[in-house]
Amino acid sequence: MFTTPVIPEVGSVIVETTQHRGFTPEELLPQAMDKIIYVGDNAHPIIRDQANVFKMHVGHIVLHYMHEAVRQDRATLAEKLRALGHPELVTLLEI
Amino acid sequence: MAFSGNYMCTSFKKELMQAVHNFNSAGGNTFKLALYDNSASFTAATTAYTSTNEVAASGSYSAGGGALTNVTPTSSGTTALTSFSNLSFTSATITAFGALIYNSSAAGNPSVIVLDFGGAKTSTSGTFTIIFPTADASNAIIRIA
Repeated sequence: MFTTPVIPEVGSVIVETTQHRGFTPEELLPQAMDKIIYVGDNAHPIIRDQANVFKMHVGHIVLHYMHEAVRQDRATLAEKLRALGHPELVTLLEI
Repeated sequence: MAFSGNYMCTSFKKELMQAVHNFNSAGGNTFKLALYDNSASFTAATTAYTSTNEVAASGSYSAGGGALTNVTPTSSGTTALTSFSNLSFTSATITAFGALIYNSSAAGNPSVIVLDFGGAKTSTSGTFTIIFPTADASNAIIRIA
């Protein structure tokens, strides 16, 4: 007779926090890359190395566009502040 | 009392057999994650969301916690699994020791899993982010092997 146990399992989360600010693109990048490309610990070394190099290249591109998204959003906020008559607040955005 | 580990709630396992929960990303139920202080004492016997010992509202965190984005269940080998997108609370001053994920679409807000952070996690006028593990057969947040 075969018996096959059905085992429900719960994974573990990681909590990351900031103090008096939000996360920077550099801090968010590992979260994004872990969702895009996962390289298993048991992968063949040659495949693992190639995957890690590819992950690094993709990371550079993602990071560039994350910075660009922040820059563009701040430009939009700056124009809204100017339109509302608060140009002095634009300096806070450090564009 | 305090958090004592991660648990899949026993009532949740029973409710899976009663079709109470739907984790599909499209048309599925709404699952929420609520944060708690160190006075919470959830175990596998926990059956539903409670506001007792929940952290106070701050920034984008409000009573009941934040809604999660479902990742449609899949399988890998003989393991069925599902997950959620990372969840962040911004401009928040929070100290939490753990969390409860529950189904806010189902009657009575039935609990799903208990998460122990392993200690105090604090954000001060900042961002509090819960990062879910890789959705595979070895690491996914909810697995049935």
